[in-house]
Amino acid sequence: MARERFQCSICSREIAHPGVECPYCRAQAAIAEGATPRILIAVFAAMAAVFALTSLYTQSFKSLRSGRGEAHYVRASALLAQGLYEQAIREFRDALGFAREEPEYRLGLAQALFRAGRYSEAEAYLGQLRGADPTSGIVNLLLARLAAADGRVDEAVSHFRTAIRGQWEDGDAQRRLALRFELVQLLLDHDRRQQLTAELLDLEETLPDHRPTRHRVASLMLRVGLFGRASGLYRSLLYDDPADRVALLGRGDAEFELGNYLTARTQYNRAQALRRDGRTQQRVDLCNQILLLDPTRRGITLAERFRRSKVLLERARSALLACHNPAGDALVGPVPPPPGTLGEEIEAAERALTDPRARASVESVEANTGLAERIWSHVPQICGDEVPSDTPLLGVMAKLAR
Amino acid sequence: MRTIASALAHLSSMGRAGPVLDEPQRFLLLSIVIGIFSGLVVVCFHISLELLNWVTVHPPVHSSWYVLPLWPAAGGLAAYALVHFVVPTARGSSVNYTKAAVYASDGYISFRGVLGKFASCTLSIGTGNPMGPEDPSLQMGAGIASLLGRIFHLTRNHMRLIAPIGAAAGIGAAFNTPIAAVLFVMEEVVSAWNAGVLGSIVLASVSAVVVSRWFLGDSPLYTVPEIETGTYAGLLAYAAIGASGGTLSAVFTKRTVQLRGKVLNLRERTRVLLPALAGLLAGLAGLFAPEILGAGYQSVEGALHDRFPWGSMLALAALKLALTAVCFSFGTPGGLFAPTLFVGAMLGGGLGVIAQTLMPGSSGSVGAYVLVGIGAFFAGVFRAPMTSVFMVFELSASYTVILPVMIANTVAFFVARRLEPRSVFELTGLQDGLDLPSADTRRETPAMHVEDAMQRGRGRVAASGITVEQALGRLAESEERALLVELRYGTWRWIGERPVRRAAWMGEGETPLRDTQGLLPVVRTYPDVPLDQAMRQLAIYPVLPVTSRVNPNALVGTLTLGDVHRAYGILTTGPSVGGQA
Repeated sequence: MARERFQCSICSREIAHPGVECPYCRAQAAIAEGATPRILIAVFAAMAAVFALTSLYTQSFKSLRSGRGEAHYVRASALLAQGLYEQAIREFRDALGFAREEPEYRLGLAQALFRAGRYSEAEAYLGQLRGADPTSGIVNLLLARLAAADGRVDEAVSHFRTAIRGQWEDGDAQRRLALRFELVQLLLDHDRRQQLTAELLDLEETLPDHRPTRHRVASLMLRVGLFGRASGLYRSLLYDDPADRVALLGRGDAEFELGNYLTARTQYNRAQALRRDGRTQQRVDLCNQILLLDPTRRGITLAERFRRSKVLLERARSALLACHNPAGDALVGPVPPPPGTLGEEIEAAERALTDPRARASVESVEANTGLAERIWSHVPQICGDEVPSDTPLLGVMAKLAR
Repeated sequence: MRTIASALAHLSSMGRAGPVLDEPQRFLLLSIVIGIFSGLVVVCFHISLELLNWVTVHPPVHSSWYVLPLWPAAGGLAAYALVHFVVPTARGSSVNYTKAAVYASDGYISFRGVLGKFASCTLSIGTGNPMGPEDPSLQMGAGIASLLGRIFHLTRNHMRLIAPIGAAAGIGAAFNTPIAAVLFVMEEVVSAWNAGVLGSIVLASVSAVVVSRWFLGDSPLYTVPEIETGTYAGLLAYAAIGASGGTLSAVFTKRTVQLRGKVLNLRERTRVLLPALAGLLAGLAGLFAPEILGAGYQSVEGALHDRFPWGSMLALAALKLALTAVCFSFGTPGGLFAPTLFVGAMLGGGLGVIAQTLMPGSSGSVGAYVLVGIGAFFAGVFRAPMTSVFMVFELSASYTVILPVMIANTVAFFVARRLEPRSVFELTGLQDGLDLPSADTRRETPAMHVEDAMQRGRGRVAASGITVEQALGRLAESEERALLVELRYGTWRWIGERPVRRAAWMGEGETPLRDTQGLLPVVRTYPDVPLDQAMRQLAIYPVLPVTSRVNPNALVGTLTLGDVHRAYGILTTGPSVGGQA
C-alpha cells in the first residue's frame, strides 16, 4: 500500500503527518484550510484575555507607581515650601519618574524650576500642561509670571487674562481678584496706560463690597488719571464711613485734579479735622490760593472778577517772560519781545494791564482771561520741561483749560 | 426568502472548518490583531522593566553603596543563563533574527523565543544594564506575528512578510513613534520599499501605538523645551555634530564587532560569566554616574533641558558608549536603540554647548543640539537615515529642528558609511553566520532596465511587405528564430520560423509576409521597465518592441532573450549591449 504524502502548509515541504511540527521550518504543520470561525473566535478570546490581564497588571503597576510618586511629591512640596529649590526639583523629578502623566507633579516641578530661576525648563513643562488643559488657572498664572519675568509683557498679559478667566480648583473669587491686581501692577510697571485703564474699568465693574479692595482700586485709578471714577469710588466709601480719612484725602486729590478746588478744599479740611498733617495743610493753602486767583469762581462781584482777571494775565505774562529771559530784564537791558503772535499777545497784555481807561465788564474780564489763556498756551513751547513755579496759576490755568 | 435562506445557510456553515475570509482580508485583519497583541505584550514588558528597576536601581529604601553594582551583574548573569540554557532562540540581535525570519525561515519565529526575550531582557535591563528595550520589543512583535500567521495558516509568501509587520508593531509600541517604526522596518528589516506590505505595517504599528498609549499614556518619550535652531551660519555646528556622530558611530561599530568577535572565540564556560562582568562594570560606573544605568530616558530629557555641563555630557556619552559596547559584545540581552539615543543626545548636547561658546550669535538652544545628536548617531549606527529624521520629529513633536537634523543625519550617514561600510547589524549577523541583505547593499546594486539590454533601432523589424523567401533569409540571421513585423505604424506582430517555413513549403515564397498565416500579436514594453518584468513577457514572446513612453507608437528598439543574456554577461556574442543595430 502506497504511503500517503503530506505537505507543510508553510514551507510546502514533505512531512510525515498533518499536525506534527515541520522538521524544516518548525511550524506546526497542518493542511491549509484558512481561518475558520473557530480560529477567529479563539484568537479574539485570547486577545480579550490578554487585554484583561494587561489591564490588571497596569492597574497594579499604576497604583504602586502613584504610591511611590506621591511619597516623592510630598517630600518635594515640603522642600519647596522651605525654599530648598534644587532639592525640591530633584524630588519632583523622581516623582515624575514614577508618574509621568501626573499633572500635579509636573506643575510642582515647574513651580520649583521657576523659583530656582530656570525659566526655559519651567516653561517647557508649563507648555505641556497648558496643552493638556488650556484653561488651567495656575498654569496660565505661572506662564504669565514667566513671561513677565522675561519681559514679554503682551504674552504675560494674555496669560494673566486666561488665568483670571481660567479654572481654579477652589474657584476662589479672591484669587481672581488678586490676579487682576497682579496684572494691573504689571501694566503699571510697564506704563501700559491704555491697557491699564481698560483693566481698571473692568475691575470696577466686578468690584466686591470690600473696603480695602475698593480703596486699592480708587488709588490705582488716581494714579492712572481716572479722576472722575476715583472720586466716585471714594465718595461711595465716604458714604459708608464719612470719617474715612484716607478716602477724604483721596477724594480731595481726585477733585483737585478735576479742577473742583472748592470740593477738594472741603475734603482736605474734613481730613484735617480728623487728624492734622502738614501735607494736607499745604493742599488746603494751595486750594485757597487758587480759589482766590480764579476769575471764573461763582459768587464774586464783577469788579473782583475783573481784578482777578488782570492778576491772572499779569502772572501768566510774568511766568512766560521768566522762561523767555531767566536772567532778568535789569541785567541785559530791554528784552526783545518774543517773535510772531506771542509778541503781539505780550504787547496786548501790557496794554491791557496799563490801560487806565479799562473798566470792569464781562467783556474785559473775558478778554483778559482769554489773553491769559493764549499766552499760557505758549508756555510748553517757550519753557520746555521747566514748569513755572507759580502753582496757583497752574491750578487756575488747568481749570480754564478744562 | 432566497436571501434569508442563503444567509441561514452561511450561518450554518460557519461552524464547519471552511475559510471565512480570503487571504488579503485575513492579512489585513491579522495586521490589526498583531498590532494589538504586540502592543499589549510591549506594555507588559515595559511595566515589568520598571517594576524591577524600582527594586534594584531605585529602591524605596536607601541601600548600601556596594549593592548597586551587584544588581546589573546578577541581572546580566541570570539573563544570559536563561538565554543560554533555557531559551537559545532568544539569543542575539532581534533585528537580525527578524530579518532571518523574512529571508531564511519563511517568517518562522519561535514563540518560545518571544517569552525568553521578554524574561531575559527584563532581567538585564531592569537591573540597570545599559541596554535598551526597543530591539527586544521588535522581536516580540515579530514573534507574535509569526505565531498568529501560523495560526491563521497564511501562505508562504504572506508568512515571509508577517514578521516585519510584527516588528513594526513592537518597535512602534516601545518608542511611541508609529512613523519611525514603519520606516525602520522598511529600511532595516525589509530592506526595500514594498508597497504590498506597507499598508499592513502601518496598520500594525498604529494599532500597537494606540494600545500602548491606552495603557501607558500618550505623552512623548521626552519632554522637549522650546527649541531655537539659530541662524544659517549655525548650521555648520549641526554639520559638525553630524560628522562627529558619524565618526563615533563607525568607531563604535568597529570596536563592538571586534570585541564581540573575540568573545565568540572564547570558551563557552568563560562566556557565561562575561555578562556578569559587564554588569559589574556598569554598576561600578553607575555609582559615579547613575545616568548611564538602564535605558537612560530621563538623562536624555535632562540633556534636552540643559541640565548637564558640556564636559559631563561628553563624559557620559563616552562612558555609555564603552559600557554598551562591552555589554552587547559580552552577550548581555538587550537592544542598542536606547543607548544610541543616549550617546547621541549627550554628544550633541556637549558639542552644542561648545558651539554656543564659539558662535554665540548664531547658535541654537541646547535642546536642538541634543535632538540633532540623537538623529546623527542613530543614522550612523543603524544606517537608517529616513528613520532617524522621523524619529527625532516624533520624539520632539516639533518641525523646528527638522532642517538641522536632516543636515546632520545625512553627514553622519555618509561619514559612517565611508569609515565602516557595513552596519552593526550586518556585521554581527555575519559573525553569527547570517548573510542578510541590507538596505545599504540594495541601494548599491542598481536594478537593470530594458534600456540597459535592448537593441536600439529597427534592425530586427521586418516590413510587412517583404516576401516569405526574404523573411526566411532574415530568420536565418536571427538568433531568436523570430521576426518582429510592423504591419503599419504602431502595430506589430511577431512570427516564428516554423510558420514561415510552412508557407514556403506550401509554395507561397513570393507572398508578402502580411498575407501569411502565423502572425501573432505582441505586447510592447518601455525602456524604463525593469528587466525581470520584461523577462516574464519574453517567456511568451521571443521579441518585444520597445517604444517611447511619450509616443507609444514610436519604436526605439527591440528586446530578445539574447539581449538580456548579454546584459547579464551570460553570452558574449552578438551586438554589444544597448548598442546600435
